[in-house]
This record gives sequence, structure tokens and C-alpha cells, in this order.
Amino acid sequence: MAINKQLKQKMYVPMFLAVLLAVFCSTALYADQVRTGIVQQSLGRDFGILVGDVIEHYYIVQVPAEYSLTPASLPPNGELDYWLLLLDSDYELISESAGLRQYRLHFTFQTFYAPLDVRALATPPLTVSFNAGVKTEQLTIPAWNFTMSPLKEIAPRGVAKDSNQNAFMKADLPPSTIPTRDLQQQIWILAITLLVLAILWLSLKGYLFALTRSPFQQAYHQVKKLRKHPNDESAFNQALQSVHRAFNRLAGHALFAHQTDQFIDKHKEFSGYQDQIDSFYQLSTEALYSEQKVASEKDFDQLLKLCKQLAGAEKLALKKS
Amino acid sequence: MSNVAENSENLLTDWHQKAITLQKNINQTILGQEHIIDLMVVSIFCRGHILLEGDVGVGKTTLLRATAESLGGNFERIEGTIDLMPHDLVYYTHIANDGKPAVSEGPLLKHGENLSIFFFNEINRARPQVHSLLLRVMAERSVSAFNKTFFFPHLQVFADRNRIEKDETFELPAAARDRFMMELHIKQPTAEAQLKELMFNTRYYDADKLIDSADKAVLPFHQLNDIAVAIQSYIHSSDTIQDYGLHLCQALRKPQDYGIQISDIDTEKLVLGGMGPRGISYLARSARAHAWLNQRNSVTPEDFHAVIRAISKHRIFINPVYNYNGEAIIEELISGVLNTIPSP
Repeated sequence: MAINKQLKQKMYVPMFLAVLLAVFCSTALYADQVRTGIVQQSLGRDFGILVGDVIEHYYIVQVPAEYSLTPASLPPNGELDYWLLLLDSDYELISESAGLRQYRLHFTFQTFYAPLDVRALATPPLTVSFNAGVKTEQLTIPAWNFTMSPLKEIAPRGVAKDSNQNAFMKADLPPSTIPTRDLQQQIWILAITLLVLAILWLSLKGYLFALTRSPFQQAYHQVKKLRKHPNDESAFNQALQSVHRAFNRLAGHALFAHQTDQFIDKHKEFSGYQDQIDSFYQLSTEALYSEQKVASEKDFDQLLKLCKQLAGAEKLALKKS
Repeated sequence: MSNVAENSENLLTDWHQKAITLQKNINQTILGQEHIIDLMVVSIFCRGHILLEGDVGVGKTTLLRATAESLGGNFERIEGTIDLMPHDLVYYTHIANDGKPAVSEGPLLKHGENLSIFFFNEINRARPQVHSLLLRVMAERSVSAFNKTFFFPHLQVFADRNRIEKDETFELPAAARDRFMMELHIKQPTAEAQLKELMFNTRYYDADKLIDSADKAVLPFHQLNDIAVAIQSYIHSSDTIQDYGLHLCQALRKPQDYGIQISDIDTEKLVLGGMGPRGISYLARSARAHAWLNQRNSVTPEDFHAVIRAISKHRIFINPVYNYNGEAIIEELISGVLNTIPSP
């Protein structure tokens, strides 16, 4: 028995050594050949998916270190099926250690399947390639099975109760309102302040009174201001411009010398001043187009007189009407 | 005033009389087209080419013939046909008196530098190949043939086309239309008296006799180029009128920038192109010539108003969406521009 026990003990030692060697060898072999595959995945809920839902899948895959992902092998965005859309696919290298690389793959799908009852469906398998020089390794992302649920019941009660087709539809959600009660008071105060300031500015600048004046009254005041600079060549041109503006405003369009007859036909109140109007246009032509006129105070006076006469005629016509 | 300025003023005064004579002479032959004749005279004194467009039988050809005869100089005429080729304008082949085949100079080259008017009748019946030869003749007043270049310094091209008939016709390309200084639209007179005159006065029955009855060569045509230059340098254009002219052209190109509104039209998308540098230069030149014909020394807005339609209408290219009523829309656009842009 003792001999037998000794013999057994002698046999155990080489067996233990053989097992140790085998374990060591297999570990070394494994270190040389890292297996390409999915090491982790996050696929989300595989039930209760509704039409229009966005499905996001994350995979962490590993490959031997010399392999790198071929970006062109990622499935292109677009329709995978008549009901399934691949919205996006991207990748990221998340770790790189001796002998091993890990990538995170991210696929975003959107389903447009509208089932009438709970329906089992599956995303198609997708293939991604990794290459190391001329060597290529392919990894298949397996199909993902899930069930889709309907949005509405098959036979809505609304149909049975009445023939109103709207019964199929759910009632509109009431719009969510933003409380503005507190702001209203501030807005009113701001608006009134701005209005008062605008009126104040218009009246200080004289524009408020100008609005109530006739075009020729306005021109009269502008010419009167410009008359204070008779030696300034541009002052007379500006004065002419003011009177032209008055004519244009009243005519409703740009009025020129050859159109004065039509203007007077329309505005009979000025028919007594045809000669004065014609001589104004003549004066304007000499000063602005022929550039042969040196303006004098007399010319300013002519403009002032014309503006006064025409403003008076306009006022009279308004009173009569 | 210096002697040179005085001489040029006297010369232009003499020529003004001649221009009036020319105008009267054409008006005696053609009834009820005073405005068109005014514009033609403007164009003659700018040395610009003219394209007449109008209905059938309104007197386009007679008007152009009468103008050509009144101007004097050598006059050539060709009919636009579908089989007309560019070489038909340059040379023709025939059997000479000695019985041998011969090549002779065609209508363009026959008179050399003395060619004054080249009248192209029914221009839209000719093919685009002929239009392209005409492009060079009009723009450069020269043509290359027989290994040399022929120049026509006094040449003015008059062309007409029928606006009703469109079968077997070739629309003039934009580039060819742009080379015509003016495109004039002839309508029949509307005054009853004038229509009765045209109807019953035997004088208007025979166009050849009618043209023969008018005075011929009332102007020394070979001096027209110099006079045209003198007019352009003598007539003054102030800064104010220059601004006005420029804004008119810009408003025709970009009406939306000037707030021009046309009913049912999106003015932002209306104009595709037009009134390029050649067009705006023609507008200024014709405004100066118009001022001179009206005995003024400076250009006024009235001058632009008188010529702008004839100068710009065929140069404005609108979005094809609006082609269904293109002519009326362009007319409305021009009116809108004239009514909106003030001066000063």
C-alpha cells in the first residue's frame, strides 16, 4: 500500500507539470491571436417600440492591434428597408493596448413601421471591415430582434359611437402657454415711454409740425433756412431740391419740366401760377443742368414767393373742398 | 469764348439746320411717324444702328429707304431669307463677260469706305450665321474677306423685322440686339386725318415714287462722324444730370433697390440683365444728341425721357416666367423708373 502511495505521488508531479505547461501554452497562444468580436453592447429596450422611434445601438468591439477600422465599410446612411432608416453610423477608437484595439460603434436607426398589433421585427445584420495592410477582417453586427407596438387601437370606440372621422384621431394637445402677465405691465410702460420720447424728439426737431404742413409750406421753411447762406453754392441747389421735392410729393411721382402741363391739369388750383411754375423749372435747369446760374438772394426770394403762393393756393383749394 | 469753341458752336448751329432739313424731308415722305423720325435723327447723329419693328404694312421699309435716300452716300440693301449665308453679303460668283467664272464683291464690299447705309430688310428671316457677321460689321465697322480687312467708317446699319410673323424666323441674339443703338416700334398713325390721307391720297400709293419725290442727300454724310463727335463734346452734362442718368440705368437693372413696384410682379426676380456699359453709353450719347436737336447746350431729364424707351427696351432681359406679357411689363418698368427716380 505504501509503495502504491509513493508511486501515485510520483505520478502526480509530472501530471501537474504537464497541466501547468498546457495552461501556459494556451495563454501564450491566446495572447498571440486576439479574437475579433463584440465585447460589450448596449441595445436598449427591445419591446414597446413605436412608429417614428429612434433606436440607438452601441457596440464595443475588439480587434488585434495591427487592425484598424475601414471607415468606408460602415453602412451608408439611408433606407435599410422600406420601414427602417439608418440615420447615422460612426465609430471611435476607445483603447489601444499591446495586442488589442477596442472600437466603439454607434448606429442610429429610425423605424417607420406602423403595426396594427404587436409585431416582431429585426434590424438587418451589418458588416464592418478592419484591415491590416493586405489582411482584412470582417465583423458582423448581428440582426437585432425587437417588437413594435401600435399607436392606436384597431377598432376605435369613436367609430362605433358616431360617424365622425375625427374620432380616429386623438384630441389635440392644448398648447402650453408662457405666462406673460408679469411682463405685460413692463411692456406697456416701455412702449409708452418710447412713444413719449419719439413725440418729444419729433417736436424738438420740428418734424411733427412739418407733417401737418403742406409740401410747399415745408419747402418754404427749408428755403428760408438755406437763404441764410446765399454765398454757399450748394445752398441754392438744396433750396431748388426742396421745391422739387414738394412738387414730386404733390404729383405723386417725380415731376419734370415737360410734365408741368399735365400736373396743372390735375391740380387746377395752381392753374393761375403756370408761368411761375415754368420759370421755376427754367431756373432749376439753368442752375442744375446748364450750371450757368450764379444764385443771388433774388433767386431765393423767387423760390420763397412761389412756395408761399402755391401753399396758399393749396390751402384755399382744401377749404373749398 | 475761344475761337475753337466759337467755330465749333457755329458749325453745330449750321448742322442743326441740316438736321432739321433732314427731319422735314423724311416727315414729308412718311406720314404720322414724327416721334420715330425724331429718334432716328438722334441715332443718325450718334452714329448708332437702328432696328425697326412693327406690324405688316406700316411703312418700316419705306421709312428706312426714305431716311437712307435723304442721308445720301452709297446705299446697299439686302433681303433676309432663310437661305442667305454670310458670304452672300461679302461676294458673289458669276460668269463674266469673257465667259469665265468670276468672283465679285458683294453688297457689303462693293462701295468700300463710301458705304453709308446698309439696309437689312426682314433681318429675322436670316440665319444666326448672318447675324454673327452682322455683329462684327455693326460693332467694328469692318469685315475680313479675301485675306484683308475692309473698313466702313461711315456705315450705319438699318434693319427691320416683322413682329407678327414668327414662322421660319430666327430671333436675333441678345448680343446682336445690343449692338443696335435703338429699337423702334412703329405703329400705324392713329389720327383720322392721317389715316384718310394714307387711304385716299394717291401720293402714298406708290412707295418708289414717293421716295423719289423727296430731296436726296440733304447732308454731307462723310462729315457725320465728325459732327457726332463735336456734339458729344459740346453738349454739357452736369453732375446732377449724370447722377440722374446713372440712377435711371441702375433702377432698370435693379428695380427692387429703388422701391419700384409693378402689380403682380416680384421686382426682385424680374430683371435678369440689361443696360450694360454699351447701353448706358448709348443712353448718354443719345440724350446729348437730343439736347442738341432741341437747341440746348446741356442735357436735361427731358432728353433721357425722350430716348430711354428706344434705347433700353430691347436691352432689358426679364425672367422667362414673365415672358407671357414681357413687352407690357418692360414698358411698365420703364414708366415706373421714370416716375420714381427724381432729379435733382
